[in-house]
Amino acid sequence: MGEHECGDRNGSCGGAGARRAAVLWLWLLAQALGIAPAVAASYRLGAGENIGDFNLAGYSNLVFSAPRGGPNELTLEGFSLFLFGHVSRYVNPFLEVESEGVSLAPNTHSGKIVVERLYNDFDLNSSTTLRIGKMLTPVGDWNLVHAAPLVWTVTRPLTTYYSFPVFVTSASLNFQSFSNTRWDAQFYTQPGNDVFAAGGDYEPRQYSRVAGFNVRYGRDPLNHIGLSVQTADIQQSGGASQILGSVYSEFTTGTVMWEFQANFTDIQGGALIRAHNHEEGGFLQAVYPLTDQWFVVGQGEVYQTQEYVASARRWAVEAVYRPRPAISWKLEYLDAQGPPVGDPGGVYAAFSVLF
Amino acid sequence: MRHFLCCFEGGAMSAWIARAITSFVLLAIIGQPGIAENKRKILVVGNPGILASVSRKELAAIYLLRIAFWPNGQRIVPVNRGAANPLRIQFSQLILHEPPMALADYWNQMHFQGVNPPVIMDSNRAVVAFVRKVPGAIGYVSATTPTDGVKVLRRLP
Repeated sequence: MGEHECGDRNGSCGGAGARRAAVLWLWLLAQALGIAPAVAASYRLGAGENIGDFNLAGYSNLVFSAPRGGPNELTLEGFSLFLFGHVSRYVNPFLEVESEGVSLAPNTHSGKIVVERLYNDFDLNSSTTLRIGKMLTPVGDWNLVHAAPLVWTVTRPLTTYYSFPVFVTSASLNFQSFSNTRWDAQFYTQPGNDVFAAGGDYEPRQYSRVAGFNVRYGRDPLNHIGLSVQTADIQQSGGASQILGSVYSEFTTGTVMWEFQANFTDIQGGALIRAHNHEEGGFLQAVYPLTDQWFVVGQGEVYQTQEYVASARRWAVEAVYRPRPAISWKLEYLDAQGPPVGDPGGVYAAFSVLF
Repeated sequence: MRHFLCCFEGGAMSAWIARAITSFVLLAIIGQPGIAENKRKILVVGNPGILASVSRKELAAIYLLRIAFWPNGQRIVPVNRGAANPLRIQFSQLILHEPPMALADYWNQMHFQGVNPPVIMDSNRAVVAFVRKVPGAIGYVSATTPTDGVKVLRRLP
């Protein structure tokens, strides 16, 4: 049971959930503004709270959305808690539980609780780790650091989730170098289905029998390039399988920070009719710092899905205020043309805190 | 302009211009906090139970969280100063070659992936006290800080 849904059917937990979410959010806002009582002398916003060998942290994302032609809504889009520990070389557990899509409007009932990550890391030596459990899939950069305070836009590009499972329940062998070359590599396989499959906002499909690798080379933390390759079976397609290739990069030119990802997915077999036997596309994002705390973001994306003949064409402009690295205020205009995939065009605003 | 120039003649005017330029350059140099602070000496200190020295490359790998263990198997606990602290800015530029804001983003991303970012301490004395107490800890302090009970691993720059 990976998910607890508070739906319209019983109508009993949505209001209470929304009230709890509102209280939590207000506490976070007070923390962000520096007017909440300190919970511990050692606590620092963004670094979590150390409890012995463990660290308890999380993030919150309050979103106001005004999609074109749709209703305005204020939602606690994500409220996540994660707990991880480094007990010994072979005991390094990680658990993340997230509440998604809790509407803060009165008399609304929505939201669900999802186990996003549950794994243990076995440090085999200083550069090799074996990870077993449910984890984020290493395809591109965005999926691994998708928490709202860590990304620049309110909405998420299709390229970063649409054509692959964002979670896998697998064994993953992770390598990391630290000498003259800074290479990272992950090899992973999910023999069956994802456990705690939740069908979240960024999981349009469910996958099984997933295997892949990801390699990344970085000159420094701000400049790197990577390649992800993955095969998977698509569960809802009558037996179709796919192979995905993705290239991605983050780099800087002067003061501008760039991020880029492009995917190509070849789909074979399956009983369902589809418009294309491939999905492909990519996004490019530029972040220009106006000051240390104010940023302007531009993002463009073209994505061809298997279901629709036409491609989705999207661009977004955004103003971001980051008074501290753990706090982010965003105001975004998104234009979305083409088939109805992903977030609809409109105006979005968000307040996100990593705590 | 003509009125101003009228008061100087020949070599006197050249000397005045030379003095003005010299004064301006000196003021600019003295007024640059970055240059003044780059002259500050830094000591990299470690818990007595760890290595006798550490290279710049190893320091960078430690603070970028790319190595987690000392050769004796002890987990590394890097210690940092607050984001706006001049010593941290100097250390970041010297060893990590990135501005502190970008590194703060990087450490937040690593934290989200289950890797503890460097522990933050508010003073040189607090860094020394923490490093002395915690096995595997490593930090940096200004060279004038008493280092009783910790090992000096490296002097910077």
